[in-house]
Amino acid sequence: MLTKNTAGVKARKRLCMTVNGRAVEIEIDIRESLLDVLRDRLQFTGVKQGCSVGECGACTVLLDGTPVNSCIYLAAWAHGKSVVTIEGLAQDGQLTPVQEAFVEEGAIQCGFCTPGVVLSATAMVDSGKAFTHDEVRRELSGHLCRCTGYQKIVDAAERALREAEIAADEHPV
Amino acid sequence: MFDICELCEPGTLAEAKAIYAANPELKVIAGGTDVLIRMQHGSLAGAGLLSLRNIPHLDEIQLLADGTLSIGAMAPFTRIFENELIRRLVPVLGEASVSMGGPQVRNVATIGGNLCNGAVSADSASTLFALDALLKLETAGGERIIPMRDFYAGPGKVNLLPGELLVAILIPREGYEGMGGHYIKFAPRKAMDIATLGVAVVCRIRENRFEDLRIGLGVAAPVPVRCFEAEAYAKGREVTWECVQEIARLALKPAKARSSWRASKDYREHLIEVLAQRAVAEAVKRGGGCCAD
Amino acid sequence: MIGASSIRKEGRAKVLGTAIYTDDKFMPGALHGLTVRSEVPRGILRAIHFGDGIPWEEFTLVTAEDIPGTNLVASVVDDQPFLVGIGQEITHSQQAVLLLAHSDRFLAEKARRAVRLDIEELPAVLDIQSSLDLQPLIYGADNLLKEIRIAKGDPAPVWAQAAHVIEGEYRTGAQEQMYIEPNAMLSVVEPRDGALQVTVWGSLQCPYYVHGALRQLFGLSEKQVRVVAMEMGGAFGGKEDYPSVNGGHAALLAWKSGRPVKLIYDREEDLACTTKRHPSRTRLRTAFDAEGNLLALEADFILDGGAYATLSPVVLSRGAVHAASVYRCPHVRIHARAVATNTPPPGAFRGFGAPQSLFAMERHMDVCARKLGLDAVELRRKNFLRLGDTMATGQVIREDLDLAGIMDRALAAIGYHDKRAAFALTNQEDGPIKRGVGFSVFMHGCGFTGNGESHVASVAGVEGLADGTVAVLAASTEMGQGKNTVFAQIVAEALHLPVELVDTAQVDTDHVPNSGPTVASRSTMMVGRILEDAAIGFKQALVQQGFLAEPYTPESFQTAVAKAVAALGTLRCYGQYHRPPNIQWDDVNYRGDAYPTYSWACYAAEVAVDLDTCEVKVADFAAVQEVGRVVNPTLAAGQIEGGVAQGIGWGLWEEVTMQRGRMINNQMTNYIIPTSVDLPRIQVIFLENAHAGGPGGAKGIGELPMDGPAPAVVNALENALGTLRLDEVPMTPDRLLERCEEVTHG
Repeated sequence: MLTKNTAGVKARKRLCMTVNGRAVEIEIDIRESLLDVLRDRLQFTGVKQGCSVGECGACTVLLDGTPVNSCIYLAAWAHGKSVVTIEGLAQDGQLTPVQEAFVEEGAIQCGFCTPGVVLSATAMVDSGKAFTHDEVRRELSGHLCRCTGYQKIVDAAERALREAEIAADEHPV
Repeated sequence: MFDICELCEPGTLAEAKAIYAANPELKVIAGGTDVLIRMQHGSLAGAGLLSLRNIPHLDEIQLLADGTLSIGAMAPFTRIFENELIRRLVPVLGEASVSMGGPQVRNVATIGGNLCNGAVSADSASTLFALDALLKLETAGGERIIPMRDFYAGPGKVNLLPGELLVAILIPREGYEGMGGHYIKFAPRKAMDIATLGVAVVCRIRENRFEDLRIGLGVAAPVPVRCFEAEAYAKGREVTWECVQEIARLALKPAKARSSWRASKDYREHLIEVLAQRAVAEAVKRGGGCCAD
Repeated sequence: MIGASSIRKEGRAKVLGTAIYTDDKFMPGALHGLTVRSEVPRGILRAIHFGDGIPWEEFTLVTAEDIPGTNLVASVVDDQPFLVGIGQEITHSQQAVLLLAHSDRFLAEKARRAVRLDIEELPAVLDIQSSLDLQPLIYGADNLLKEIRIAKGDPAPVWAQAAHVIEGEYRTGAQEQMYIEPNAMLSVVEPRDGALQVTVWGSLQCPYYVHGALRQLFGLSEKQVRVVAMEMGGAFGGKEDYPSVNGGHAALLAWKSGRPVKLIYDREEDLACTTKRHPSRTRLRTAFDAEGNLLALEADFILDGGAYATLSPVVLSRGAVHAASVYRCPHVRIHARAVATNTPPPGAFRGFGAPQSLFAMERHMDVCARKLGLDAVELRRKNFLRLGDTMATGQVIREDLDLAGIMDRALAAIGYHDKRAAFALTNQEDGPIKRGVGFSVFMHGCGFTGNGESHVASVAGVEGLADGTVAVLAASTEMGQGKNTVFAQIVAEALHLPVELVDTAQVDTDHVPNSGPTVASRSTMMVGRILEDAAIGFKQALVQQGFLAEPYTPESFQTAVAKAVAALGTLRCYGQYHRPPNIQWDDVNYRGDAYPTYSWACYAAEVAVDLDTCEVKVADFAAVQEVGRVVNPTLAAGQIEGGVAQGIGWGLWEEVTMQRGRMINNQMTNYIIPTSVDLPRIQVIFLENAHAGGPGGAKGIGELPMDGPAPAVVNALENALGTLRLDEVPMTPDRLLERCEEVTHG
């Protein structure tokens, strides 16, 4: 299907997706990135813009559960998909175990990389897989952080994985 | 906001080919991690995009009846790295796949997009070169299958005809069976970097002799290259350290290294020899051989 | 309480995604601002051409001619214009010429690309040597932005008599702060009571610097300007002086358009045009006696200061004072110069001149040890400063300083002696991986150099709120270092309250006093100390006015404050900096107490070098520091870990590549900072030795971790590879290969 641009008219498209569990239906400009739509149209300012070229990971969101850089993802492609931003993790102000781990381990300094890296850590925990220390570092390597030297971020992710493993043992599905 | 004048999102391959045939000036976009970054830097201004995302089955990895491994052009790198068939039959491609970008990029970037972008640094390119992969290309009018070595026309340019889409990457059984392989990506950091140099080696060892050896280099020349002199030298020879060292020396032949901010020419040439030696040694080990002195 | 790892105050908001950074602030009707810049390093601006195909009548445009007040950025020296006017000199590439704004960001970008600047080029100075040679003269009478001389004793007669005289030249490159949040400003300018009211919300370290700059730009009084510090996505000095520039630009567009304006830099622009660490060249000459005692030191320390003075005088000052590092030396001459070049002016970056001069001296000590045939550890040990010794400026060490203890602790943590012995054997084997260990010993002066604190005369306070809790009133900004939490801990301790009852007022110049800029490792020690006084004064006022009786519980304190606020309306108590009587500084002769105190450290690194590819991996790292008192162990460790990461990056990978006076690797893909897979686990050890001038005995730690890693890593490289010309950072694989080949090919 063609969404063609005529002179002076910005090409539009109807976008239906789920964001943080709620259905969203808006008309978007086909030129918009998912980041543009999330921040500027839907006011999810928790999704950050650090570089616009998919290098720093600050714009990371979960797309059908998978971490992607929203700055180089066309908004149009999110049609029919589920998007989770940092705002979608806590329920009624209750932090998730991953969020708690980040706060308590001191993994947050300036906080600008935090939303993205918390989402990647959440995807790791949700996958149910086990990760070695090196694999944890690799899974988080798409997030540039200038404040922490990554140490406490890795500690927080490992703590969240350990806690999830224990919880799974206690409540097998 | 990207400087896009239109976005076409066909739901079937036939539709895509028809649109592309009628509008060959459209820019094909797969994962977007190349095209959108280039647009961010001012290239492709005002382009119309032909997105392949909604086409089913274009991302599948399967083993065909005749033993050919077929990798859909839209398969993202994370999928390739985690795929059972790839791990079992051609793990060197998995190595290349997990070396590019970072996790978020690998979740979205596709092998087809990586190849068609034509960047000589593409981690999949030098590996597929070494594997003698075939590319299945289709237009509204027909299809053709060409070897990797005929795909690159020049720096950043690939041999796609107007209206032609890369649909699958094929690795025939002879290309992977009994092979040991290793891919080394050399970059300043261990993540998120474009390769300063990529070396892919596959070899088949029989009775500790090189029955077959193939070496692909990325970023050593304007296009990915095969080291034919080195490969010819190795054929039939016993696997020894001297042999491996000579192979590495010969691997420099097709290289036309340039100096850039990433590395000087001298350093690049030095790396080619060193890394070719390491990659061959490791590929030999995985192929069941042994570098005796 | 002081010493507890209290949870970061704004951590919850940050992990929820509700913390508001500048670009997150919703401002309906805001225009998008953009800046048009010169691509020429030096020339005369002749004309601005507006290209076809853009509806220019819809745009707000600002040039130098529009500026209502003074077209000079208030700084140490007022020499930098906000915008270059027609007929005026362009002095660096990326210099701002035109500001434009429009509601459609996409169209604004198109418009920016459609502007062409007509610049009559002039010959430019692009490196230190050309500047020294006046090829050509571009600034003042001698291309000097600042010159400082430090003299102690008289080295002249020593050189001839000394058993050993060793010289060396060391260079360090520029470094980009790479905060993950690019520079961002939001401004509204409205008429109020017949005059202008300028408000700026921004990512900025020093609200009162921006306040002063806006006053001068518009010619306004104090009350007519308001600056609010938003949540900041990292700074490291990169948002210390630059915000006066982009804050001014945003305000000019807001003023001209009558609309709110957001001026948010994209990463490429931020890298190309904002401030960086000063590149340096240091020449050292040291004299030793036969036993290895340091007899004399001469340092020629030069910084590339770019096109304007900005902070160069102060960076030079700190670099000069730190040039002799932690050694006792009776005869010292330090000649420090900041020279002008036609490049974007550098500014502040964690360390502020000290990493540059300390790299030189700590590298040099290893070089000297080798040439003297002495062990690098023992050479340092015998020359360490001790209680009663004097530093280069004549400052007397008045604390019980145990540098040897700090050094031994770090060496033990990394297993230095065992590894050195083991690697000496394994490095002889075939195989491309060579290993080495190295270390550096260093200090970092806490607070402003010399009379800086007296000049600023910081004021900070404490305020009671209606709900009975207490708020800190200070202009210090949170950039991730933990200021909100640490200040709360200090005030809570002074008031005997749980930290939950103390928080921080938003940093808004309408509401908080000028406690000085958030720089120089001063916030905990200097501002924290003032807050202690203010808190105690606050409590005393409550007691004296009959609201509170001692002793009290937290509950009764809270009740008392609520009652007092209800009765009195506002309840604030302020404290101010007073120079301690035993601190003396002569700014003319550069003698005396350069800093109230220093934090002291030894960092040790283990490296593994792949001799074939020249890749360097840092396999282990130990950071040992004596910091007076650790206020919050988790936050403090985080500071060290992050600073070490930046220092390793500077030592091995981070390089600013310039061409025609501008940075060409201005993307995150080609200016590379370490990722999570590039760094080892960093061991952090704190030692305490309470300093009377700091709250609870605390000194400063913000910049300290930047000083040690680069020399430690490069010293380790020498241990791994043998005698090579390792005199420069970053020591990239390319450069390392070159140095290896220098030896192979003679």
